[in-house]
Amino acid sequence: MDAIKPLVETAAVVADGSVPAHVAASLAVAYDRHASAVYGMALRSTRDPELAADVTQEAFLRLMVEVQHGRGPDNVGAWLYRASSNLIVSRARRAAVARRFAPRLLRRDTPDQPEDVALGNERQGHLEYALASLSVSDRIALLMAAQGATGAEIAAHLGRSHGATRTLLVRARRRLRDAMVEREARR
Amino acid sequence: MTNHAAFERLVATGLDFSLDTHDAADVEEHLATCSACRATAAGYQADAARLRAIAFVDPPDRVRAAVLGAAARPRPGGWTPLKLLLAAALLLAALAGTTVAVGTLLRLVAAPISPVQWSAVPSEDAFVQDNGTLRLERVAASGDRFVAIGSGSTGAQVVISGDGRAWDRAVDGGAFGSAIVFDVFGDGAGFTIVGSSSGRPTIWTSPDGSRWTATSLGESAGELRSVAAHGGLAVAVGSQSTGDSAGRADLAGAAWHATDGTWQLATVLGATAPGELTEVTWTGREFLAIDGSSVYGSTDGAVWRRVSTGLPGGATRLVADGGSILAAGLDGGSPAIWTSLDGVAWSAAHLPPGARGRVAAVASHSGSAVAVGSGPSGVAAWSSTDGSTWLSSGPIEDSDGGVMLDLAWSDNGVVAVGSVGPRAAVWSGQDTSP
Repeated sequence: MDAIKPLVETAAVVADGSVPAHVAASLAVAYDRHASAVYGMALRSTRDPELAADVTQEAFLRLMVEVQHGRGPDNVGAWLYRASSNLIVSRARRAAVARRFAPRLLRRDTPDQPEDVALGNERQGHLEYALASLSVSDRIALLMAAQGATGAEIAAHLGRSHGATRTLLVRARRRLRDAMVEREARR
Repeated sequence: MTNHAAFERLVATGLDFSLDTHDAADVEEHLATCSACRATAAGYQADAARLRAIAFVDPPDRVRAAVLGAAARPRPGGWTPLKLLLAAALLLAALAGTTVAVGTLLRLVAAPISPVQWSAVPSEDAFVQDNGTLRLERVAASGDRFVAIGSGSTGAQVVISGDGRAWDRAVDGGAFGSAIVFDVFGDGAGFTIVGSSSGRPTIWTSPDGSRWTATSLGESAGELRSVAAHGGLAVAVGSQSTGDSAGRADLAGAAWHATDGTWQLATVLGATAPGELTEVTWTGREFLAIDGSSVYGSTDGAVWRRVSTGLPGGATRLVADGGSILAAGLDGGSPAIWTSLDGVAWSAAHLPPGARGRVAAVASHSGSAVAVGSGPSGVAAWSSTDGSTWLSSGPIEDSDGGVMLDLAWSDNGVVAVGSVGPRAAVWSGQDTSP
């Protein structure tokens, strides 16, 4: 039920006012432009398709509320990065608690994503495992970089200094490399 | 003594930040002689490449439907707690997978004869932008040339083609810098692109699509969303700041007009703030523009008056060709097209029922109209002979998860542009109309 609740909460906010057509239209454009980046980051950071869908949905609904109140961000992509990474961190925490009470969800920890099967790439599976061994902020930083964000943009979105982000990214890349070497050695 | 750990750190740093020339030279020199560090560097690069390969994933279609469904104009009476509960219940049902095979039904009723058969153009270097996302959003033709424009994660992209299959970046692509581009228009005089540069409304013109000249329209904040021209009169619409603040809240719908290349601000009667005019077209009698809820008309481009509030919400494109005027977009998460004879009274056209997605663009050619957009599983196209009744053109190969955003006819044929995943995509159409 956890996946349903946020939508209802957000919809209730929307229900207080009308949604002008230009908001709906610009939301459609923003969705088409950024949804695969937001969902990709959420899916690869959480490894949970339901959680990722939930985060993506809520990030865009929050964007709609912002636009509706005349607070539409100048840089929609940057805003969505910030909103979705905050949601990922809070939801991942909540999901970790939920998992303690629902052991069957651990099944999701096996790399059975259809796109992995399609790729037929064993190392891709290794990468997902290795990524899962990193902290959430490490994962988000690496995925933002993979989606084309520059070091300076990642620093801005994470709210960290340039130097701190540089250290974070270098460490994250090294941890990922170490985990990959370890996994490949085990084969 | 060589510090391999320090070189490893520099290699990892170089993936996200530029190294200074001294460090870069040191790394290069060390890698030339140290096979262990070369292997480590290759590992870092392979990790980065694999991350890029999994970084973009299209969300399930139900997410799009939920987001755009919530954004659809509220029904009369608005949302009630009961309707909210109903929406939650419907979402639960969707999550449980109790959906019907709408796609199968649609294919069964697909048009027996479609005026255009689409096929994906093999991906080109011009369709990829620095490992980031790129989509081509608009395309226009002038003579035997196409110009397509797009937005990527690192800025605007302008690509040109003669035959619609081989594409190159515009020679003067640098003229766009970090600009945002929204529309491209082509006629006998060449091409015009509109958008914003440094937050100001900006127009770029080119005789051939290759070399571009930029013109900024004034000092106020704003952006241009659409451009059209007829008989030597060009009009552009968008938004302009009404106050001193740089926020979007004080942007109001605005229009500009030019007869000799000198652009002047027009008067738009009835435009509301915040708002923007998103689309403009020449109908054969006058220019019409929309702001999502109202339709504005002008014969001289200098004065615009509101002619209708009857266009349903969700209309994002406007086209006209002789007789009727067509508006396209989405209605409650489903693709929608509306028709009008005068821009005042609008009626909904008939599309195959039950589909999710949107109509992104419509064009008419040789007596039949073609629409493109997105459907439940990716790219979708429709066709019509009267503008009122539309049939699905059936599945398009290699286009799962993609979207077609615009189409244009040149002397050489028809192309559609859009994206599949993070990459820009182009489809070439074979005209099969008699």
